[in-house]
Formats: sequence, C-alpha cells, structure tokens
Amino acid sequence: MSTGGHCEIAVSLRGLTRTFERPDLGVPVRGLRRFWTRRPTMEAVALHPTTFHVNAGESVAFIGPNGAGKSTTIKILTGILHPTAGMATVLGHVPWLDRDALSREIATVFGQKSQLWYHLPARDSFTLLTRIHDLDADLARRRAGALCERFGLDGLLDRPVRTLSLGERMRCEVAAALLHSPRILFLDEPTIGLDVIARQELRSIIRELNQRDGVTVFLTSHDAGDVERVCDRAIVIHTGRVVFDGSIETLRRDFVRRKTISLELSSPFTGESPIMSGVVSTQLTPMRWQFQVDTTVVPAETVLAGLIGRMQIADLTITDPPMEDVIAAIYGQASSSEAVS
Amino acid sequence: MNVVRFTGAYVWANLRIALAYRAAFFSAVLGMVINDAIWVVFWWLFFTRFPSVDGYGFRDIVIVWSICATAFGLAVGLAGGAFTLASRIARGELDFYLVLPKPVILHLVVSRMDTSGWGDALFGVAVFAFLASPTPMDAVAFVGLSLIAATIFVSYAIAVNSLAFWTGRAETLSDQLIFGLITFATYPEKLFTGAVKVVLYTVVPAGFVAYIPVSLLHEWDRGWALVLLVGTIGSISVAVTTFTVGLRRYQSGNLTAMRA
Repeated sequence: MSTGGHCEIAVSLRGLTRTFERPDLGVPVRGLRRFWTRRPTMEAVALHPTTFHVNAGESVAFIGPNGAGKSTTIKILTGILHPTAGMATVLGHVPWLDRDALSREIATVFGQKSQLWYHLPARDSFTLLTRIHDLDADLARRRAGALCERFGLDGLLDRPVRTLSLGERMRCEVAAALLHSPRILFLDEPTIGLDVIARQELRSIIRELNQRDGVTVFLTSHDAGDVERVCDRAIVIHTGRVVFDGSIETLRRDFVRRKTISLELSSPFTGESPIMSGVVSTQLTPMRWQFQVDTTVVPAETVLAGLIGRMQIADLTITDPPMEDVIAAIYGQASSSEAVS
Repeated sequence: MNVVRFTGAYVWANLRIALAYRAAFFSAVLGMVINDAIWVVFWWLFFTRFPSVDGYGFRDIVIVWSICATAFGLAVGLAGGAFTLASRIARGELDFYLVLPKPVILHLVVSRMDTSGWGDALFGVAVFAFLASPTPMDAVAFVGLSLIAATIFVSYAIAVNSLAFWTGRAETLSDQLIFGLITFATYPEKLFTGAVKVVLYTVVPAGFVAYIPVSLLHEWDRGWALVLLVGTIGSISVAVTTFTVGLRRYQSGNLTAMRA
C-alpha cells in the first residue's frame, strides 16, 4: 500500500471512522454486583465516516468545536490511533500500518504537548532529534542553523527550555519539528496561550513555510486569526461529520448568511430609521450608518437599492462577517444540535 | 549502529538532565547505596549466628545481592521508561513516541532514567569486588550475567506495565509484581520448592534474574547457560508481544505535557 513516492494528493480519507466503547451510565448496576459485574458498554462515535482529500502544497484549516473529532482525525492521520473502519493515506502511506516511513516525511506540533526536553537547552533537543531521525550530523547542523536564523532563535538555543517564554518555546518547537524537512506539517492548536505578538510571529512562520517552501499545512485551531491568516481552505467538522469543505472566503460568505453594509453619508440623514425585515440598522454618528443584513430574509442588493433612494451616500462598504463570528456560529450550531439530540 | 547511537544520545541526555540537579542526583545515589548496604549488614549479622542455610553462606548472599542490585540498577538507570510505562499508557502519553521514526518500545524505555539506579549499580559492583573475592574470569562473567539479568528485569517491567492497555490503570499491580520479583530474587533459591518454584521460573522470573546467574558464577554449566539464554529471549518476546498487541488498544490523551 505504501509507495512513499511523490503524489499530488497529500492526504486522503475515504470513509474513515473511529468508534470506541464507553460505560453505559444509563444502565445502573447497584449493590455489591458492581464490583464483579462487567458494566454495560455503549459504542460512542468519535468520527463518522469521513471523506476528503488535501492536495500537496495546500494550507488547510480543520475546524470544529471541542469533541467534534478534529484531534481524533489528526491522531489517525499521524499514526497515533487506529481507525475502526475506512481508509486513509498520507503521502501514499497508510499511517497506522506504515508509521515509521510516514514519520520521516511529516511533522507534528501540538500546542499543548511539548516535543522539547524541558530541562535541557533547545540545542540538545535538536541533537536528540538528529539521532531519532537518523540525520547526517553535518546536514542537521546546517539545517538547524538555517532554521534558527529564519525563526530568530539566536540566544535561545542555549537556554534550558523551562526558562523560555511560551512564544519563544513555540518557535523552537516548530523549528525542531522542521529539522528533518517534512513535507506535511500537522499543527494542533499551535497558538494556544500565546500573546498577540507571538501569535502573529508564529502564523507568519507557518504561512511562509507553506508559500515559500511548499510544505502542506494541516491545522486545527479555535483561533479565527490562525484560520484566516494561515489557511486558504477550511474543512469544518462537527459531531464527527464534515459540514463544510471549501475556501476560507466561501466559508465566511456562505456559512453565516449575514452582510454588513456601512455607509458614509454626504449629508446627515434626518428621516426615520429605515425598517426592513431581516435588517438591523445602527446610527454610529449622524454621518455614519451600519446595517446588518440577514441575507436569508432579504438580499443585500435589495437593501442597498432601498437605501440609495433615501440617503445621500458618499461611500459604502459591504463586508462579510468576521471569521470570529463564523466560527462562533459553527460552534453554536453544534451546541444547538447537541441540545436537540 | 543507529540504535546504539540513538540509545547513547538518550543516556547522555538523561544524565545531563539528572546532573542539572546535582544535589538531588548524588543524594539519590547515596541514599540507594545506604539502603542496599543495610540489607547486606542484616544478612552478615544473620550468617554470623547461622553460618549456613541449606548450604547457602554469606558469600552466596553477597553474590545474589550484587547481581540483583547491579542488574536492577542498570535496568532502571538505562531503561527507566519500562518501569513508568503503565502510568504513561493510562494518561495517554505515548503520542510523542508514535510520531517519530524509532521502534516505540525502545524509544519509551530509554527515554527515562531513574537516578537511584546508579546507586544500586554502584553498590552491586562494589560489593562483588570487595566481598565476593572474584577472579578475573568471575568479573567477566559477573558483567555478562548482570547485563542478561538487567534485560530480563526490563522485559518483565514492559510486560507487566503493558497490562495497562487492558486494565486502564496498572501502576499498583506492576509495581507489586516488580517488587515481588526483586524480593524473591534476593532470597536463597533453596527456600522455595514445588509450585512456588514453578512460579519463580515463569510468572515471577526470579530464577532467571538471580538463581541461574548465581549458580553459573559458582560453576559454569553449558546446560544452565542455554536455559538462561532461552529464558532471556523468551522474556523479550513476551514483553514485545504484550506491548505490540496492547498498543492497538491505546487511547491517546489530551493532557498538557512537557518532556521532563
């Protein structure tokens, strides 16, 4: 099954499914019997049959609320977990059967799990990873030097990892993950806990890796900024099912059916606030108005046509909802569907 | 060769981590030497009153203790990860090792070092050198037999800790079984007969860790050497099989983790 050669499709899932058994707490086992009776179990689904493909060189955000199946999917794709059914290939390898070969071509960065040795300087982690990946020592040294220069790690490498700030540590984490020149980078919440500046730095590093070096990026994050600034495509999963697969632009435009129309007026509007079904209007200043349009009720064009007739417009902008709102809407849908079920 | 370099790199890294806290390292080593010495003093007092127990004398006990202490010290000092496996399985902490290109079990066992193990090893070598009156050939045999016994200790630790794949929590059980192995291994073999002896060559392999090595140090016997070899290969096979089969049941965790 594993070819390991160059392939256009970097990641492929076909009906990939993962279930697990958990105690059925709805069936009470009382008295002393509970000490020797096997508690009834029920099958829980972590990932419903899931199918999608990621092409080499893409930068994909894999998003969804907690418990949606994101981490399960990443763990299957990196060979950590076995699926219950279905098939997946990563760079032509079946992850759970060909873990050794696959691990030489991919890298993982988990925001909540450090891959560096806490009490040692980061440089020693690089040395250990050189041995783990069986890299030529000179080649690894040159590569480490280049990564340090690129990620601004000078002065950090000789300090014990425990003394680094979270942002500095994450830069070292990514550099360490890239030591063996992987073709795919799996990132699970890489910016969690970072301050604004550290987040921006890490995002631009990942973006550059994708655009300049052609490294395929597969990222999960709850941070809208990560999704917007790092990825071109989003796959949205909730309750173990893919509910959206398309460009970030389409996600922003179509997932939340809402537009914001902002108007700069050339003269103050003195009439009554325009009332339309599906539109919420806000007067910011006498010369500035904002209209939130629910496009499932009324098209933005209709609202705009109505406004043009009534107001003296100097400038207008129509914007899609911010990614923050899109992600909030996705998570909101997930919790409401859970409440219904 | 790569495996040797890889293991060497880990031992070096673990030593550097241990020496980053020198006071803790040296107190752990010294504490273990004192702990082991107390037992030998106990046996010395015992044998001054009862010079022989079913043919066993003080020198025999010294050899038993020196081999067990050296082997156990090497096991936890070089492959301490085998002894903490159960808790790492229960907490879902194997992810890091599963995404790297090295045999997972090898990587796990060399990834940890119990510094007190160096106290055991130091004590074992010193006691053998000063109290067992060894010849040069004895010394060579001692090193080889200690390495074999260490391999069996590590294999046993892997096997019993891997029960966590099925039971979820196996720290207490595995600790008790390993403690049981050490306890039985440091008493004279002749105290045990019948079914207990069968247990000591199977479920709790004290026979392979101590009794056969000690008898080989007394008198070389090709037949017993072969039994020891088969036992060692068998224990490695059981350990690798238990871990490999169990790994399919592994459930990753989401605990925040540092590689400390």
